Amino acid sequence: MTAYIARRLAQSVVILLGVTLLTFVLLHLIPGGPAHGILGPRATAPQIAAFEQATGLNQPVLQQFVVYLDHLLHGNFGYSYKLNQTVGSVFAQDLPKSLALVGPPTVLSLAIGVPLGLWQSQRRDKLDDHLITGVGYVLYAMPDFWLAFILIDVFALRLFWLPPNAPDSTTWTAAFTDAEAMILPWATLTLVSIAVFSRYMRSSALDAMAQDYIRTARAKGAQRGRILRKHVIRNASIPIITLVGLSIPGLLSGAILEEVVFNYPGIGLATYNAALVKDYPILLGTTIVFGALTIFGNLVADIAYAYADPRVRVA
Amino acid sequence: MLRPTQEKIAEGGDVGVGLRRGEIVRAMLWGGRLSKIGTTTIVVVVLFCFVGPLFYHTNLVNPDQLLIVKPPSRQHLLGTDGNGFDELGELMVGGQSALEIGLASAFLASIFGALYGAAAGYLGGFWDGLLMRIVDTMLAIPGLLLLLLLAVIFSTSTPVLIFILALFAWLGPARLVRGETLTLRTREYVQAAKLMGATSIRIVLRHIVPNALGTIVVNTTFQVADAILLLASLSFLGLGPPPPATNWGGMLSDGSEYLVQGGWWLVYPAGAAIVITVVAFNFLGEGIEEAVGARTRK
Repeated sequence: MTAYIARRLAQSVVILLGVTLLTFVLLHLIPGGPAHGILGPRATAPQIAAFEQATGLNQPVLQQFVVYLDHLLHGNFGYSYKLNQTVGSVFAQDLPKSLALVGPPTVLSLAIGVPLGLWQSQRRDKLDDHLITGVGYVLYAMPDFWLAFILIDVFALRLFWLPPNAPDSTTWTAAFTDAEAMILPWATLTLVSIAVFSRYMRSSALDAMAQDYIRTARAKGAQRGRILRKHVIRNASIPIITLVGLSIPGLLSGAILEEVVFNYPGIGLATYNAALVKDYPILLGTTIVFGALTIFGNLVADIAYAYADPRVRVA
Repeated sequence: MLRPTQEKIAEGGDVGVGLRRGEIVRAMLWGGRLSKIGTTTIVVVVLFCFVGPLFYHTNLVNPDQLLIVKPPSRQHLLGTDGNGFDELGELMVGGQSALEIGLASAFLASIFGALYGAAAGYLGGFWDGLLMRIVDTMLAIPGLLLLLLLAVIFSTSTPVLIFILALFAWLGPARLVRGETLTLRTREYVQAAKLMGATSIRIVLRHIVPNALGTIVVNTTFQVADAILLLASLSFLGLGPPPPATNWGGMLSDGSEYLVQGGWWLVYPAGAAIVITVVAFNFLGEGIEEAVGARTRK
C-alpha cells in the first residue's frame, strides 16, 4: 500500500508540474505577451520594454518559468496588477467563499443521489425508475446557468420567496449567516450533481447485483434487505469514491458559472473577471490551484479506492 | 490510474462482423428505442434550424426600436428580443452555429484523439507514458477554465471556437482508444501484420483504428452533446461567436438581462432547444452503444 501511495504521489507531482508549465507557456501566447495584457492595448513599445525589463519578462520563457516555480514553492503566486493585490491574498479572500458554495451541494447531492440510485436499481424498468432516469437525463443535459435562471425566475422573481443574488460579502461565513440567499445557488449545483450521482449509483448497483456472490447469498437464503445491506450497497459504493474524486473539476467549472449568474464573489467570479481583462497572474494562479485540487481529488480517490478494494493495489 | 472508461472493452473489435456497412449504419441510427428517439429528434432539430428559416422569414439584421422585448404574439410566435428581432427566427439561426460548431469540434477531436490514443497504446513503453501524461496534465485543468484560458488567448471566431472546443475534447477519445488499443495490439491479426513487416503507421491506421471504430463513433456522439453544452457555457460567459452571429448560449446570456422585466420568452425556449438537442445526441450515443456492443462511458 505504501508503494502504491508513493507511486501515485510521484505521478501527481509530475502532473502538477506539467499543469504549471502548460499554463505558463499558454499564457505567454496571449497576443502581445503578458506585458501587453497587463498594460493594455494602448501601451507604447518603450513602456512595454521598460515593464518587461522591470519584471523579467524579457528573459527566456524557460528561465521565467524557473523563477516562477521558485516563487511558487515559497508560497508566492505573483502579483495582480489589475487588482493591485497579491494573487495569494485574492485566493485567501475568495477561495473559502467558493468552497462554501460547492461544499454543501456536494454533501447534499451525495446524500440524496446515492440512495436514489440504489432505490432505482431495485425498481429497475418500473415506471418510477424510468421517470427518475428521464428527469436525470434532462438535468444532465441542462446548462447549469439555465437551470439557475429558471430557479431565479420562479422562486425569486415570481414567488418572491428567495433573493435572486447570492450574498455579496467579503467573508465566507456570509454563505451561512445569510443562508437564505445561498439556497438558489446551492439548489442549482445540488440538482445537477444528483443527476450524475444517482445515475452512476444505479448502474453500479445493477452491476453488483449481477455478481455471483449475490446469487450465492440468495441461494443460502439470505433475505432481500440483508443482501442489499451487506452485499449490494457495500460493493456498489466503491466506484462512487472515484466519482466523487473525479467530480471536482466539474464542480469548479460549475462554480465559475454559478458565481457569474448569482454574482457571488468567489474565486470563479475572480477568474472570470481576470479572463475578461487578461489579468494573467490571476489566471495562472487559479489554473494551478484548480489543477492541484483536481489532482489531489484524484489522488485521494485512488488511495481510498485501493483501501476499499484491495484488488487494485496489486495491479 | 483508475477510470471507469478504462475497463476492458468486451470484444469491441468484432463489431459488425458479417454485416454490410448499410446494415451497421441502420442498426446504429434505428436499431433500438433510444436510437429512434435520438435520430428523429436530431432530424427535427436540423430541419428546424436549416430549413425553417426558408419558410419562416424574419428580420434579424436591422434592429427595430418599436419591437424591443415584446411578448409572444401572432406575428412573433416567441416574442422579440432586445434588438426587436424575432425570437423564433433567431432560435433557428442560432441553432445552426450550435450544431455546426458542436459537430465540427466533435469530429476534429475524435479523429485526433483516436489517432493519438492508438499511437500511444500501440507504441507503449516510454512513448505511451509520455503521451498519456500530457493527456493527464490537460485533464487536470477543469474544462471550463481551460476553455476560458484558450478563449482569452485566441480571440474567438467560429473556426477558432471549433478548434478550442476540439483542443479540450480530444482528451476523452485519446484515453478511450488507448485503452482499447492495449487489448487490440495483442490480437493475432495485429501480430500477423507486424510479422509481415507492416509499419507502425500502417498497423495503427489499418488495423487498430478501424477495429476501435465502434468505441470512437459512440464517443463522438457524446462529444457532440458535450460540445454544444460547452459552447453554450462559453457563449454565456461572453466568449462565444462574436456578433452578429448568434447561438443558443449567447441568446440565453442576452435574454437573462430581461428576466427581471418578465421576459421569460427570451430564456426558456433557447434553453429548451439546448436541452432537447443535447438529450437527443446522448440518446443516439446510448443507442449506438447498444448496437455496437461497445462498453464505453463518457
